[in-house]
Amino acid sequence: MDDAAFDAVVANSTEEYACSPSVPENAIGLFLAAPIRLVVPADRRTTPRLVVCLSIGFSILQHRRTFGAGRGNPVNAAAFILTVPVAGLATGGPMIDGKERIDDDEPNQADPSDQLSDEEAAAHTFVDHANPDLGYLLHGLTTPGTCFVHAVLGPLISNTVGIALVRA
Amino acid sequence: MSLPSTRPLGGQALPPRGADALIATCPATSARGRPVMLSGSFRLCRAAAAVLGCAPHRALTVALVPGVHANAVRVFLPFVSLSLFDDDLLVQADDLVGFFQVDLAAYDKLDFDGGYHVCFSLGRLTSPALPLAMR
Repeated sequence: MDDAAFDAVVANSTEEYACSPSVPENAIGLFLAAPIRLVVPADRRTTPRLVVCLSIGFSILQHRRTFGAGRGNPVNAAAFILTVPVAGLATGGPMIDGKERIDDDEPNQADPSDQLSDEEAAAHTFVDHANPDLGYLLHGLTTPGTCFVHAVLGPLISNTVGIALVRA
Repeated sequence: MSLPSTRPLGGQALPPRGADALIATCPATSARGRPVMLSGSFRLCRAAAAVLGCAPHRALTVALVPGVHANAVRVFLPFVSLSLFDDDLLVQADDLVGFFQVDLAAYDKLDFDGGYHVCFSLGRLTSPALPLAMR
């Protein structure tokens, strides 16, 4: 996928884009795509734009196992891990979307999916998308090198993508 | 043994030949105030190691995820400021092989009640997310 495709992605959105990874049918897992090259600002004051696309294959059973009785949102629970080894940098965080978040620990008594058996819940799969701008995790970095990114959500871990960081 | 260490534990196996790999272990349960020993090994071809831009051990990353709280994730580079030497790596044909032992309790208080997942990465390699419950 051309890097220009990521320019069209609205930062911190939850829609599917052309560069969103496809999820195999009924698959449970995290699938990550990112541009192969990022220009890091020459000054430390400018935050770079680093939008990556995560597709989350989930089932109601996986949701139940991950969040218990809570009504957690997989998009909110995905953590993104970045490392730039040559700069000695390792950091991580969530998608910062500026929206009010649902308390992941709050039970949702009215959720009819709670009535499903584990077998039925396993058969109900869905795909969520998260397109975070992770530039905030690289703020101040001006070192060229390779940035490695992957995502974690409970027991699930995504593929790792390598992004070449080049100077402006 | 002072930690973190690049020395193999007794009987610790080499990662199998044939492909780059990262193998890591973590205790399923531990007690607060006690060491939490993470150990593992990796195999990298020289080309993959060169992409890191530093000694492979320095790039070894540990992510500690409390429950599903992405905003509380902690990320460590246990070897980033450690003195490393040529013999911290084994050379096998075109591969570099390394071992690591890390005390996770040295980096975090581990006071979250809901259980953690511990994830290791090294460049493009990741290990499975390993569950850790604290008593």
